[in-house]
Amino acid sequence: MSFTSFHFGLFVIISFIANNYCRGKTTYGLVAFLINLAFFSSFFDTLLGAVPIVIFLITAYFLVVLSFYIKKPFVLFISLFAVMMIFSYLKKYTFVSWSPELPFVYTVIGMSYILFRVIHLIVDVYEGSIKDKIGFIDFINYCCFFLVLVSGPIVRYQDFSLQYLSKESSLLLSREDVVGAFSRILTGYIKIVGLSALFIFLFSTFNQEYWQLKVGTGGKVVAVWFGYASVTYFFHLYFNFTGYMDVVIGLGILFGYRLPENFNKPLLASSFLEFWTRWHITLSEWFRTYFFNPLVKWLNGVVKDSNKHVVSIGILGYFATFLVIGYWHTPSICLAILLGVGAAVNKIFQGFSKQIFGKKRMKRLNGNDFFNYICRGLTISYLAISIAFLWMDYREIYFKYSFVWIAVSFFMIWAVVGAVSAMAMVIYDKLARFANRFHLVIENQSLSCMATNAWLVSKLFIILYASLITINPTPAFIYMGF
Amino acid sequence: MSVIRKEIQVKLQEIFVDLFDDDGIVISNDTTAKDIDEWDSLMHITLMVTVEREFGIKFRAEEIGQLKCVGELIDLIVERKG
Amino acid sequence: MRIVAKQLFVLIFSFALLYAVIWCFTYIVYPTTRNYLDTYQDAVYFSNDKPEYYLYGRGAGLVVRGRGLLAENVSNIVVTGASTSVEGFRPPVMQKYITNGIVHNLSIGASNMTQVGQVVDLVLEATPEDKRNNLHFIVGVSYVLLRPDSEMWPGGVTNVETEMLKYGMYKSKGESRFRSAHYKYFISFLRPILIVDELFRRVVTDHLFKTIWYINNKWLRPMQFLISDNLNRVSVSEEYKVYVDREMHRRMGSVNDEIGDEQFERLIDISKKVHQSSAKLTVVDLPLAKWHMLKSKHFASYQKNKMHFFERLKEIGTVNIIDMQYMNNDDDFYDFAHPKPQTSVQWSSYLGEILSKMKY
Repeated sequence: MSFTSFHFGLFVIISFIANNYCRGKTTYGLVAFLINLAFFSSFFDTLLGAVPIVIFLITAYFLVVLSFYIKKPFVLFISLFAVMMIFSYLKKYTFVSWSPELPFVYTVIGMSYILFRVIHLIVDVYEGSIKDKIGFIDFINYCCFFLVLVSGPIVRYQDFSLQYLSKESSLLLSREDVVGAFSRILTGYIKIVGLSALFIFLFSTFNQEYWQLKVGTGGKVVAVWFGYASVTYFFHLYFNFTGYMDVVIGLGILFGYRLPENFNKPLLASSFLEFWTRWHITLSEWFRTYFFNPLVKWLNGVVKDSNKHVVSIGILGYFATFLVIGYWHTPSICLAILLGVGAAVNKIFQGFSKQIFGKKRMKRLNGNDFFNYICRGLTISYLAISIAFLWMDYREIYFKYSFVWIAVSFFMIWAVVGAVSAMAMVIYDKLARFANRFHLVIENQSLSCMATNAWLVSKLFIILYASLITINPTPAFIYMGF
Repeated sequence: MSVIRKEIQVKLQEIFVDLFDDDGIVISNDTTAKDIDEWDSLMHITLMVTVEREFGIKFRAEEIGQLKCVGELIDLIVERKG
Repeated sequence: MRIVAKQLFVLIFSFALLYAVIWCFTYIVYPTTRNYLDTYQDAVYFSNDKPEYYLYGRGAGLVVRGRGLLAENVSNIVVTGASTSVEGFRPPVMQKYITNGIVHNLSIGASNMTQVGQVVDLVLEATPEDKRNNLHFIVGVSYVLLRPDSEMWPGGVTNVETEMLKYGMYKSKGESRFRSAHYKYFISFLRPILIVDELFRRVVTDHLFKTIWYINNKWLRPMQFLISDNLNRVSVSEEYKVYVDREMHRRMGSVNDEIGDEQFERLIDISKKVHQSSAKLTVVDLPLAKWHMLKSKHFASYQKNKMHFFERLKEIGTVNIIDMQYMNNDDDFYDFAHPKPQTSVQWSSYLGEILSKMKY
């Protein structure tokens, strides 16, 4: 069920009423289970198509229970290995391509996010961070909570269960909460049907131009179209993802859940590593807790005199982590390498510049506006180019051009797009300062009921306008396939 | 503040100065990652590894991820040692 | 719970209120006082005529959304074709000669026969069955309109089809969401959306296009034709003549500059449709500048192939073919095909006079 369909609106209203009238832990659990099941099942055309993911969920639950009773490192290892193997098999990752495929068509909706939740459960139950025994209904309600099923954010079970259990008593929402939630949801839909749709339209136009270029076209022309396409795709991704997040978090408030924020103004990031603390935050946090930290810990144990090699260990840790994050996004290895190298180079650069300039001068440089804008431009530019491998097959360029040509044009595009983005950001910041002042007035709670409603209504009008004006289908949630 | 917490804080102070290579650092219960420029994810986990080693304790993955300030770290050490 | 329901209700109610207010406002700003349809706005970017804005859009948009007006008249004369017909046949001039019907111009700039066929379909759809025998189509034809679909619409969707899909009026190509009698209520309901569109065009896109067009022709491609403030005084340069040949070779998508049968067949299709619904058809063989007709291989090919197809047209049913090909001199055109404003008056009177004498 798409978030932009009429069915979803109807579904939300019905489940909202059910969510509100059903109290008491068992009843609430069952009702939530039915709601989640209804949403979940809307993605499957056939019963058979749902069998693999159901088996995955049941196995996962079994392993969570196992790690509750048997606290042996060996069992933990086997459990984690098992869930990851089933996941990779069902997602048809290339490294398991030797195994025979299932002889029927099946759907793996939201499976990546389910995997993240399951690993979190297994590890935390094993280590004792989650002390309660988790019932099957609660497990499903957590893993397949309909608001976050396909899109994240990845909620910690500890936070989720607190809110989930608090549903025994009646929901208390203030008027400000409700207005805030409505405003958030509407903003989300503006981003989805307006901005995201606009950028995917621009992207497809540029992409078409890019593909139609004949072999032997001047490198400058190729680079220009590639630059346009990758930047517009990046913004499409940004508005699509943040738009869906706004809808999810806004609806969450109405359903009595405070879901964690997944974005914190990523365009303000002035380095690659900072970007990932602002973009898809819950994913980064998950990888930090369950991949990066254990890895660095292990490296610290293995390396002699680890205190002297903090930076080297870090570089290795970041590289490996972003390699995996990239590989998770797409099986094409290029994105993985670009993300890994980006993180590693970022760390190396940090270390070097500290040595060369010294801490104090570095601090002063970081406070310099010009330097900051350049850094921000280059960060966005690098990510836009990396993300291009989500829509472009590396073989296309690999076979067409020489390695040196690719490398040189990579740096050229990086620098040019970076410089342009930096300039755009100066303008954006100036505009944002104005808009912010305006926004503060608008969203000010002291505003009368009428003014607030006028604000909401104009948002609704924009949504209606944007959805009617386009003849292309509304962009679906881009991470849906993950 | 109990004597044990005081002792732990003194020891942590040494670890911080050593690790961040900055004599100017003075930690308190409220010190967070924001107060020390270089306290990023890498330094965070390195700090945890050092603390684990120095105090002879083990943290859980989730605890490392959720630590907010030095005060909480001291709480955790007290709990683990106690 | 109650607070959420209340907020939702207030939101929907105030939205409906706002929508209704804008809807009423549109009738003040754009009163529906028209009695004929004209797509001329598309052609006024470069002339000094003041554009007449119309809420239901312009060009293809006007055809799709404005055609409801046709049902209100007893008898309609509809001019179709491409930009030459838009500029050449001015309804106000033609109307002076014609007493037994209202003259409309629904030609769309940058059309080929496929798109003209779609316009004919839309007009037929908008005309009640009992009034279709009072409907008279004028189709302006020259070789320029016979550009193959693959060259004209690389995306596979014509401008008319794009406008049909807009606002969810049509589910897919040609499949309407509304019964033909009902779509005009939907259009009326859309007015608050359309006014945003129209104002946006007026304030932003129009000026943008006009500027681009101006820069393009004045500085970047000065050989295209010599711009004068008065279109009546424009004259064509020698470079421009060479440029047209090169450009036409590229556009028509034929290696040896021949006109294929594809678009002629579309003209035959139009004739079949028109006769099936007992409407009338007149084909106007449009003139081009003489210097171009003498040089153009496309034109020669068109002259050769058209005879066969015109014969076929006559076999299908009564059709009037008006030959205007050689009625003008070079300086009656401001480029290779489009008439100067003063020539338009001549063309319109000529056609109006013939139509007024025509016996069906």
